[in-house]
Amino acid sequence: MAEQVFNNARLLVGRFDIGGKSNRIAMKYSADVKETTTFGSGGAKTKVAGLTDFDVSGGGLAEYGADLNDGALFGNVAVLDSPLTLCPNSGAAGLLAFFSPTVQGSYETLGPVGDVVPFSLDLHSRGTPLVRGTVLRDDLTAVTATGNGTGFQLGAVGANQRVYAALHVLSLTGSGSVVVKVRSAADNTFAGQTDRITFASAAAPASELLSAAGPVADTWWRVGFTVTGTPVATLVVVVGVK
Amino acid sequence: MAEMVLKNAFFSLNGVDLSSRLTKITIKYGAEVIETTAMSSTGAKTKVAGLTDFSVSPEFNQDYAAGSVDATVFPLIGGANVPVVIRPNNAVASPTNPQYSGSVVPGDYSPVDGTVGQLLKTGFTWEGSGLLVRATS
Repeated sequence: MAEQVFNNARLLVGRFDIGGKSNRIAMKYSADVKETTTFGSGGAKTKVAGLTDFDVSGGGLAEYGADLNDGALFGNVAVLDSPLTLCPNSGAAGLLAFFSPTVQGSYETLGPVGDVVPFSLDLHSRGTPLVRGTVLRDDLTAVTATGNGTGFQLGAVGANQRVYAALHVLSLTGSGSVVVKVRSAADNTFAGQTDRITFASAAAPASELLSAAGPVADTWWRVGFTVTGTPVATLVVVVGVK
Repeated sequence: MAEMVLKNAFFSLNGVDLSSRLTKITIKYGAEVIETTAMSSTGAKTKVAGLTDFSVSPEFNQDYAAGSVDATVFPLIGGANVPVVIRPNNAVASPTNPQYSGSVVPGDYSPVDGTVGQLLKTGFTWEGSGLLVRATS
């Protein structure tokens, strides 16, 4: 992958896909810088990194209607631990995703007469690390039956690391529910696979972010679905290790 | 050597050569200026140099490939100080191609920052810790 023109992005906030009407996104990931200079520092200031933090800001065009971005973002202000997933790409399975629980600090909209109605928002860290991960399942194909997704070799989880996963159920029609799991295995046959994360059963659009402690020696990962009834669910699952 | 146009600078962070994505590099090096003015007949302030300090500010075309900008920088945030090496030319250090090296604190970084249609870019200013060394060989 080389340099890229910023033509496509997925911004999932809770159970809503905001990216389709967004036209600017900025994520800042930072650590406090703390001075440690002493008499033994050789005449130069010395420093170390302290606590980390991140913020996401963005904007685009407002839409009004059931389950569209104005209502979604208005209702998400001050909601704690709303999972955020940001993909600087199409969000297809196998591509890069940044994700973490957030709190939305603001939502701003409307403007001067004659302008296309804009929106802007900002989201902030809740203390869980910002994870650089991979889209394990995209929403290009709906989930309608029990089964498994495509496997990806994403690596093992160290003893002092955790595997994190976020689920965004963007729509669920029909009658029934789906339980989504994140599974790992030693190779791409997934023989003897192990369920590492199990999300709550979803019978309606929802979102959740969970984690599990390492170590996990398995390097292959995929999603699994257990479907009850006849739901038609479009969902996104992202996973990463930190 | 006469003046030079910056065409082929070398930049490595934590041992990873990111020169091919580098679009701008700035080193700021200085010392605190501490006033020592006392009662005297000169009528002018007097000062001395105190602790030295430096910062490094690279700018890149963002690249999410393994081993490139984002994969190198993201994991460093909040962690241990890392080495940085900079030369005006991507050639061995020499009197006409000095090498600047030191340790920097991984303080902040924007993995994604852009408007639709723009070339994705990123950059940061990381503060140094300890001495900035200038070598000519």
